[in-house]
Amino acid sequence: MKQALDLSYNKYSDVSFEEKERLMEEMKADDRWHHILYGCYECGICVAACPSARFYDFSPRIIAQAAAREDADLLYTLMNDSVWDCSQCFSCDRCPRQNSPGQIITVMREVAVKNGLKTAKEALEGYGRIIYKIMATGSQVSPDMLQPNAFPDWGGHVKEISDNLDVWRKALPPETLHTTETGWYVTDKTIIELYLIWHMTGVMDLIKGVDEGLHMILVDVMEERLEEAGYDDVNFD
Amino acid sequence: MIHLPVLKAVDREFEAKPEEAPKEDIREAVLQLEKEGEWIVPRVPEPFMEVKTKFGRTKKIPVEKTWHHKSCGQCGHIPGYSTSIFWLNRAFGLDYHDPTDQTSCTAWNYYASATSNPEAQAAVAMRNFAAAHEVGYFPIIHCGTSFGHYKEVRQALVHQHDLRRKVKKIMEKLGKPLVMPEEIVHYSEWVMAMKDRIAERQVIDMSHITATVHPACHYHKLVEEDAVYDSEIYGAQRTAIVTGTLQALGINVGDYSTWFDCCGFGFRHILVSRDFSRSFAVQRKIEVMIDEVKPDITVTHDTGCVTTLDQSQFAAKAHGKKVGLPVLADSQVAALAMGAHPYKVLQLHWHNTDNKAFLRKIGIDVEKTWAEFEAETEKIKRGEKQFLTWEDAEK
Amino acid sequence: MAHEKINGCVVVKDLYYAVEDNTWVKVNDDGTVTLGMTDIAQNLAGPILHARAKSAGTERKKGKPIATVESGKWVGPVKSPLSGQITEVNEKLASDAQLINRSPYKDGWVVKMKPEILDEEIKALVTGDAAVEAYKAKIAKDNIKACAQIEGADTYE
Repeated sequence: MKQALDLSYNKYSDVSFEEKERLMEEMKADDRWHHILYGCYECGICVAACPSARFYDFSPRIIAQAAAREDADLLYTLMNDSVWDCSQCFSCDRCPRQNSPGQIITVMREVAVKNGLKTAKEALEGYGRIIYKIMATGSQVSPDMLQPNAFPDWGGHVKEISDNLDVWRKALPPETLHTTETGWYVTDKTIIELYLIWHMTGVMDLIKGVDEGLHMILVDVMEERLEEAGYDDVNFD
Repeated sequence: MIHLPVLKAVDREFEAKPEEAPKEDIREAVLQLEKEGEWIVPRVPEPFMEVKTKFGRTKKIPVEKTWHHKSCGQCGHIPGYSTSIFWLNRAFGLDYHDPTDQTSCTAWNYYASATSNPEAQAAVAMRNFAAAHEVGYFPIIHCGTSFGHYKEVRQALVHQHDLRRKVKKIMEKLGKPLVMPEEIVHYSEWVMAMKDRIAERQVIDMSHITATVHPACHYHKLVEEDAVYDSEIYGAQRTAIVTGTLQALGINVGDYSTWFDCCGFGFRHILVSRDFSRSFAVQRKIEVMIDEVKPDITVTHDTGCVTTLDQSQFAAKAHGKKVGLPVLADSQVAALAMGAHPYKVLQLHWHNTDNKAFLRKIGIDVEKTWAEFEAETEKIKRGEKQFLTWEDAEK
Repeated sequence: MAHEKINGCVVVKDLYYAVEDNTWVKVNDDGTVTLGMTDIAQNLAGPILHARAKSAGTERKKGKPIATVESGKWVGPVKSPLSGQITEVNEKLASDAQLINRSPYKDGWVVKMKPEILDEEIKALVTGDAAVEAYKAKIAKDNIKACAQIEGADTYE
């Protein structure tokens, strides 16, 4: 059942037009913008290919249109109410104008996260553990995440896995896979390099805007490990 | 039963000519930047195999000396997938490297949550490529999304010199060179390039098996020009990946009307908005495959696709949907065809949708092979051995 | 333990609370304090998978994490209500993190600490009836309808 998207003008009337324009300018200032948007024919090929369009009241065409026409108000509404429906498959890259609505959405999401939009935080609720895992361990999902209460719709099979996890992981021929807390063994040096990358690229600030508690524990873990490795002067404040 | 044949145009050759390609060959720019001293471009080690890509260009695929860029979702949740890739390399006595100096590409998080930025993403990619170069092996990518994402990163680093400059600085601080490999290779391209050698060593007859293929979106839609196409397969009108491999094993590949559709993985959706993923996977893919082809298995070549197609079928059953189609990766099918153990190597017990009927259909004694695996796990439980080793798996 | 239940959520009266952060402090006779998570906190987290405390000897300022708690759907810090040095860690949590769900105020304690400036910082915490009132307000404001207890939880009658 599709929840209808409300695209009426000035839906977010509590936000000034100047603010909406500022955010649009932030999107346009992204290095990728001129490689992902060349104007929109309104042909709808992207919508036809889009899996999210079949399930949600979602249209990559409307997003590309709003971006091409530089409609700051509509872009603001879409950035709040629409962009998180995209499943990032890039089927829309078949656009005959060579636009990439999927990448336009990526840029819009980054702007939303960077500016701490409430709808961005809401969209990422329940996702915190994954961010913690990838940021702290360098591996996105781990075997010990296969818990029945995390994936109840995958059935009793998940319980079978979690009950046997320890032994089944040891019953894997590749030596790097004898792990339960990470997908594979990652060396300490590698993790430190990853932390330094997060530090140097400002990613931790993005996370602070999404979930302060998560940011706090990540910074704590990273600073401790960095200090142990001799990087006393790296802090994330 | 409607059995849709895989058609090819009979009176016209649609031959892709590289000189008429609508998209640039990024490798030219990559090599040019090497000439200008911007980065190191490790070449595909010889001997290499050659495949054709969408616009008729030639792509080099290494045989060995490969650095295996592992997949989070595979290693975390479907480890038989990664195991089968390594098993194939070992079966051919190839020199490969399974690194611990490897991070996730982090693209799953990036596509799911946008809690990252192009600089971080590019730095993560470059760090991994540098790590491969440091040990003298050539990267081969296990995940379809890593592959697609790294192709995106390559475009960005070639065209945005500001980004390249920033990432180079980061690499310098890490004491690493800036490295961009000559080709970005997906493991399924290696499997396909090796298909005749694999077929030579096939010990299990699969000529009575019908399969549907699901091509990963991030493999052939994201940076479309760098995907394998073959004039003998679909008349080069669709990517030949996976189909080529299965046909070489004698499997009948059935066509279905939603071939081009995404599986519905969604990155964020599969974790926190799962009604979307499972509805899409079942209603647009699985049910259509079953209705139109009635295959024994569906085969794909990406972590997310295997996960979504396999796991979504459970909940759908409760809604009376037509499900029950086993999902395997191309490397698992290839390994199985060559005699790999279904549980010690393919690790099929991690898959959700029941695949025993398929195993029995190709003559595998499910009870016996499971007992063989359990005998090993019992030894581990009793403390008689620490791990199931390659030696145990290859017995 | 003298206690009150608000919507099924237990508040033990003789403990001190940092209400917003949902942590409690027990002042021990030897000058140390024991710190833990409240019943509301364990309820919000759901069945806990991992609870990793900072090691003994770690200095912590008030508000900084003394432990990281992970459940199937959530990961977050246990923020220290006081400044001080961690003296002991509840070893049982390493193998049985759900102790926090079952017994948040007794067996599921997280760390013991030697507080730096207890007399000063304890003023910002509430206890007894004041704690109960503060939690009544928070439960109403946060719309917490009930606190679920997992199997084997302490009973407070």
